[in-house]
Amino acid sequence: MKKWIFFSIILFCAFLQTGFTGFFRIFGASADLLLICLVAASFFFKQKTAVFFGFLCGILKDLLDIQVFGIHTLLFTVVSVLLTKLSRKLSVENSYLAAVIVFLSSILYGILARFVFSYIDNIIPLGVFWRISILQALYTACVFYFIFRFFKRLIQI
Amino acid sequence: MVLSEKLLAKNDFLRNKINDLNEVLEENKRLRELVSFKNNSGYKVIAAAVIGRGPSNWSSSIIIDKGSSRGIKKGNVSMTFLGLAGRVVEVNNTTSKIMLINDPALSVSAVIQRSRQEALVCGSLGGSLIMKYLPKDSDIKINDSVVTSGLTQNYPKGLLIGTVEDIGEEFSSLSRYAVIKPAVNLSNLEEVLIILQ
Repeated sequence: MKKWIFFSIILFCAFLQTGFTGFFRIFGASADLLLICLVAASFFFKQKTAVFFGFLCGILKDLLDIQVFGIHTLLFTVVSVLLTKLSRKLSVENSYLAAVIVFLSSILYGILARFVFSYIDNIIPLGVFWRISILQALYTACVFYFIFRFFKRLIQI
Repeated sequence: MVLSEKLLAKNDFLRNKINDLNEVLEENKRLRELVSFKNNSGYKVIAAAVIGRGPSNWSSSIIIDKGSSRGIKKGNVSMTFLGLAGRVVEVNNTTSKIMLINDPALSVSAVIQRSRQEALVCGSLGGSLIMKYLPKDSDIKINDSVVTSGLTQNYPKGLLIGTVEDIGEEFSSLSRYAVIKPAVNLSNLEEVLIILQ
C-alpha cells in the first residue's frame, strides 16, 4: 500500500513538473519535484525499493525531456544509491537536515549532469551552470522543507 | 434568506461564466493573430497547442499536440506571430518536443537588422539570449532588432529573434556580446506555429 501511494505521488509530481513548475521559475530554475521524490524514497524505503523509485523518477524525467534518453535514469539511480547509503545513518525526524541533504543531492546531480552533458557535446556555460545549480538546489530544498511533513504523514498511512 | 442564497449562487455561477468567456476571448485573440500570420506569411505552417514543458532545469523545451501524422519533421522551425520560438527535436506520431531558443544547446546564426552585423545567438536557460562573437568595432545599439540570417539550416531568413537589451565586452577583450530580449515570451507559450516548408 505504502509503495503504491508513493508511486502515485511520483506520477503526480511528474505531471506537475511538466505542467506547472515552468510557471514558477526563478531566473530559469524551478524546484525539481522528482529529485524530492528520490530523496524522500531514500528516507522512507529500504535500499532496493528506494533505488527502484529513483530509477523510475529518472525514466519519467527522460521520457519528458529532450536530452539523450537514459541520462536522467543513470544520474538518478547513481544519486539514489549514494543517498540510500547515507540516509541509513541519518534520522528522518529532522526536516532541516533532510532539506540540507536535498540541497547537496541537487548540487551533486547538477555536477554529474554537467559532466555527462559535456560528454555528449552539450556544453552548458559555467556561469549558467552555477546559476541554475545553486538556484535549483535552494528552491528544491525550500520546497522539500515545506512538504516533508506532508510526505511523512502520507507514507505513514 | 432563501432568495439571498439563490442570488449568491447565481452570482457565483455568473462569475464563473464570465471567467470562462474571458478565457475564450483571450484564446480567440491569440488564434486570430496566428491565423492572420499564417495567411500572410509565405511559409507553409501548422498551428499546435503547447501541452507540456520539459521537466529539467538543464534544458528548455515544450511538448506540442501535433506530430508526424500532421507532417512535422525533426528540424522544423517553431515560431509564433511575434518571432522565433525554437526547433523540433523529437517527433512522435501525435506529439513533438521543441527545444526553445533559450536552451544553450541551440544556436542560431543571426544579423542585426539595421547594420547587418552577423553573429551567433545562443540560449542561457533564462529570460534572455546571448549574441556572441560580435567584432569589437561592430555597429550595434540598444533596441536594435535581431533577425535570423538564413545561414543556419531550416531557419528562414529575416525571422525576428528579439531586441538588443545590453552590450558588453567578452572577458578576452577580443570580441563583444549582446544580451537579447526574445520577441516571444518563452515562459508562457500556449500556441506555436511549425514551419513545414
